[in-house]
Amino acid sequence: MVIAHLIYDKRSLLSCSLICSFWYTATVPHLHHTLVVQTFSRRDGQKIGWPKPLQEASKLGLLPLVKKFRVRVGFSDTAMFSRKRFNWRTLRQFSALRSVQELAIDYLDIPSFMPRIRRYFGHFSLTVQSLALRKPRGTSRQIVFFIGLFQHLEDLKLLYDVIYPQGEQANDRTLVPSFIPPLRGQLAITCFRRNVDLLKDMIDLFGGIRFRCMDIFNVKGTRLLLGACADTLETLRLCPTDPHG
Amino acid sequence: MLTDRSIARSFLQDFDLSRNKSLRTLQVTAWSGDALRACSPAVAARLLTYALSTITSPVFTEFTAFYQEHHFCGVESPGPGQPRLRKRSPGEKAEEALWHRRRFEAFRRMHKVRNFRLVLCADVWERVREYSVRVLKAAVAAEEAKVGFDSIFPEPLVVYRPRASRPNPPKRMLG
Repeated sequence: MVIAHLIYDKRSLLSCSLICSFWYTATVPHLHHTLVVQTFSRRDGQKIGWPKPLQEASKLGLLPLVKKFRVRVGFSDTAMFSRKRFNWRTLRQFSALRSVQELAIDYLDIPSFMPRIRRYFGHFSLTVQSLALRKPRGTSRQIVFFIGLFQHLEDLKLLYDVIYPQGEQANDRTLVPSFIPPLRGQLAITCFRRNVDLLKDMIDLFGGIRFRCMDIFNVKGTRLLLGACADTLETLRLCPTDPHG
Repeated sequence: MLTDRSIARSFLQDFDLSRNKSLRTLQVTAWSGDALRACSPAVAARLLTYALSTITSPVFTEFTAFYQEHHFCGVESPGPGQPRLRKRSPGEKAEEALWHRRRFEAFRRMHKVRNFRLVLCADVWERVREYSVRVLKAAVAAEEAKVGFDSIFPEPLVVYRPRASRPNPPKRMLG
């Protein structure tokens, strides 16, 4: 019970974990609840980026404890999170993230994972309930296909910057999502100025969307979204509080 | 470049909430310029009034205004997640009081269009929680003293929304 009050305080949790094995067992799931992996390669001469934190957690067998996983790409880093970041060992470690409920990936290069995308993200299929994608790369269908990998997805965040590069690739209309996620939680979209095909495809292929809460900022297609959630929308936020997490 | 007029036009097209029959709450940040697609505060208030006027939901009851660190004169943020308090000059205090006064005028205008319970929510980091809630309560008290609240426009509720993120695990964790 005491531990539950300390879940945001890393130092206190760490101190508690050192008291005895019982306290260690109680604190360790909270200590390893969140794992943020950056793609920056070096800072202060130290290798801190992908996939080092994943390797370290894997060595200690802590990856199954992670409930919230985020891949963060810095503003100065123009690299994408693509298939090139994986080798057989990294993929094996990545696949050990079997309890993740909240998944956030910056600059996800979806086309680079196609057509074997399930091999990389399939293990998240049953557990992920919240997905946040910042500036994902791919056609509307590919993004919808990716969202459709998660059977129990409730919350969705699509975050773009003000400037979105013009010109999108041609859509592959044959791509059909594997699952129809419930999408009954919160939808957060910022600076969405790309083609509304993505929203249309999401509504068509998922048999509608049923979000109860919407967080909208500078979105092309607001009317479409509000109409699609006409029967379910309970809370409308007109400006997100922290769009980039 | 987006002008107030073009923003207003697209807002009027987008935010027709007449079809949303189960809408309970409308939440906005305490528009200080950038809240609604970077339009001026006066236009933002008018657009919000329009959005409220389109609501037909029978269960709509609440209008929540979020106040973040930059809405408080006495809070400065040197880095993300690290707000700290600073002393306000008398001029800044007066300016902040006037700013709140204007927000309340706008809330009252909105309330004439659509009945709602006003909630002022401090959406700040824990370390400035006490200060921000105190400032909001002081603004409500000042409004009460100046104009007063009644059964038609009751006293707003001041609440705090916890904002916290779980830390990454320590680098050297015992296995």
